[in-house]
Amino acid sequence: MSKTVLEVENLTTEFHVEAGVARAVDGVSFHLKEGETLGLVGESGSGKSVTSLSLMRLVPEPPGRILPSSKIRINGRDILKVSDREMQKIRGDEIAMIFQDPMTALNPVFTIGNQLSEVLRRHQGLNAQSARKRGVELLETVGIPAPKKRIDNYPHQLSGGMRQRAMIAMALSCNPKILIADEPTTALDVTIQAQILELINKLQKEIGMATILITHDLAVVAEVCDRVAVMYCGRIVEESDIFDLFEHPQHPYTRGLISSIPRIDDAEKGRGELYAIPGMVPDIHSLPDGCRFAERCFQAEARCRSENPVLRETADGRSVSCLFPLSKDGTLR
Amino acid sequence: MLTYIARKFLAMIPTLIGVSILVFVIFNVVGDDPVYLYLGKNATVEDVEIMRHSMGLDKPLWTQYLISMKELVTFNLGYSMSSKEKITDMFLNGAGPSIALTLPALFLYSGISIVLGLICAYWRGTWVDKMIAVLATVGMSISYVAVMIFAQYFLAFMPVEKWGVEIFPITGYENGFPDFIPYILLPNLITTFVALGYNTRFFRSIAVEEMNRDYIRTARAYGADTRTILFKHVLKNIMIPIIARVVVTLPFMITGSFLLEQFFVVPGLGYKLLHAIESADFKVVRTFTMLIAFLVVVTNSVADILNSMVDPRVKLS
Repeated sequence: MSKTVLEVENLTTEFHVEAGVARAVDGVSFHLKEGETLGLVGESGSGKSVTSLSLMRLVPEPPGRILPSSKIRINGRDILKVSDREMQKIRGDEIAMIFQDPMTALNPVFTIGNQLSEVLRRHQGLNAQSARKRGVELLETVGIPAPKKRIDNYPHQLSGGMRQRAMIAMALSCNPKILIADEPTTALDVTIQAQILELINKLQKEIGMATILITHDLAVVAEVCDRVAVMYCGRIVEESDIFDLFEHPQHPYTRGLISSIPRIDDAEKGRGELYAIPGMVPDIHSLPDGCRFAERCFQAEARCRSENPVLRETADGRSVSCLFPLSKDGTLR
Repeated sequence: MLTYIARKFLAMIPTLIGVSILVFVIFNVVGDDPVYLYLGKNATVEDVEIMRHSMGLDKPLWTQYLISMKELVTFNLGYSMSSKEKITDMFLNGAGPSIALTLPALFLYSGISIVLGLICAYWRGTWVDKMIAVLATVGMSISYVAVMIFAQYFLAFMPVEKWGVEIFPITGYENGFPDFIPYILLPNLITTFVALGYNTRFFRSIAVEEMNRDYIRTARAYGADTRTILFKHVLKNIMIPIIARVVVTLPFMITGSFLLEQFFVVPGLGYKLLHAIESADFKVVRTFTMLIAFLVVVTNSVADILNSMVDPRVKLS
C-alpha cells in the first residue's frame, strides 16, 4: 500500500466580494497517494481551479479566505498552519504547479534559464553555474531540442508547446512530491496536447510524484488518470476509479458529462444530436437549497430540493453525493 | 544593439529639422514684428531700418532660417536683445542651477514613489495601501504654489526670524560645488513633496495591473518571496512606463521650473526665459523654444533605446 502524500479535509474557500460571500469551494475532501494521478473534473466555475490554488495557498487574500476548519496535509503536515515563510519553502519544492496558459505563465522579460535558475537556487541552494547546468539537463529531460541554446531564450521566442515544456521543467526542478496541473493542455494544439500529457505521465512514473490533473476534458482524464473526482458548484459530487466512472457513473451529473462527449460512432449507431445537460450552472451568490444539481437533473424529486446530499461511500469503494444514485444500467437504484 | 542606437539617432534628424522649421515659422511668420516690439511706438523709420538690418531680418526668410540653423549647430547663438548677453553663455550659466534645482528631486520622488507604489500594489486593499492612498491624495490636493509659500515661510524664514537658526537659505544661489548645495535643498524637497502623491498613485496603478499577471502567480507558486516578486518580477515589467514617465519630464526639468526659480531667485533657465518673455526678447525666446523641442525629441529616442534594453520583446528593427 503506497503512502498518502496529500490529504484534503473539508476545504472551504470563500471570496468576500461586493455582491456578498461567494463560496467557491465548499467542504471538499480527497486524498492522494504516492505516484497516483487524480483527475479533478468540472465545468468552468465548479471550483476546481480555486481548489488547486487553495492547495498552494495562492488564493489572493483579501478577497479570498480559506476557512480555518479546512485541513490540507502534505505528508502529514497541515500547510494551512505554517507561516508564510515556511509556505514559500514548500511551494515549488514539495508541491509544484503547471498552469493553463504557457503564454502568460512565464515572465516575458526574463530568459527561461533565469526563471529556472531562480527556483533551483532558492530551493536547492545551487550557485549560478550549477543551476544553469541543471537547467540545461531539465530542458533536455522535458524534450526541448537544443537546450543549451534554448535556455537563453525569452518565452516569446518559444512556441506554446515548448513553453509548456519549459514550465514542466520548472515544476520538476526540485522533484516535488505533488504536481498540480491546472488545465495544462487547454491552450495547446491537439497534437501538442497528447505530447504534453504523455510527457507528464512519463516523468511522473520516473519520479514517482503524485499528480492532480485539473481539466474540463473527460477525454484527457480517460487517458491519464487513475482516479477521478467530479466537481459541481464547489463540491465533489462523485469520486471513483477511472474505469468504474466511465463504465457506470453513479451521479446524474457525471452521466450527463459522459453523455455529452462526442463519439466517432455516433452517426453509425443512429445517435442523433449530441446530448447536452439542460439548464445552467446556478449563480454562486444564490445557490439553491438541497442538491445543487437538482434544477438540471432528469430524476430530481421534491426531496432533492430540500435535503442536502452528502458525499457517502457506496459499496464498491466509490463515493457519490446523490440521494438517488444511478445503478449499473443507468436507472434508479 | 549599437546599430539600433545609431539608427535611432539618425531617425531623429528629420524630426529635428521639421521641429526647427515649425518653430521658425511660428516666430518669424506668424508672430509680431520683433523690431516694433522692441523699439516701441516712438521709433523712427530709420531706427527701424537700422535695427532690422542689424538683426538680419531684412534678408530673405530662408537665409534667416539657415543662419539660425548655423547658429544652433555651432552653438554660437548670438546676443540677447535686452541684456546684450551672449545667448550661449545664458544657456550654459542657467542650465546648471536649473538642473541642480530639479533633477535630484526627480530621482528622489521617482525612487520613493516607485517603492511606495510597489508596496501598495503588493498589499493592496490592506490598511498600508489605504493609508498611503489617503496621504497621496492629500499631497496631490495641495497647490504647488501654496507648498512653496508655506515651506519658504516656515522652514526658511521663520527659523531665522524667531530663533535665529538658519535651516535653509530663504533665496539666492551660488555657483560652484559645494557652495550651491544649501540653496537647492528646499526647492528639491518642495518638488519631491508635490510630485510624490501623483507619482505614487501612477506607479501603484501600473504595479497593481502587473500583480494580477499570471507570471506573478507562477513566481509565487515556485516560492518567490515578497522582495523577489516586487523588485525582480514586477519591477522589470513596469520599467517601460517608468522610463516613459521619468524621461518625458526630463526636458522640463532641465529648462527649469519657472515658479521655483522665481520664488527662490535662482538664475536658472526658467528665470531667464521669464525675463526674456517680459522684455520681448524674441531671439532668446525662439532659441529656448527650439532647444526645449530638441530636448524632447532626443530624450524620447533615449527612452526608446532604454526600453529595448529592459524588454526583449521591443523589436530592434
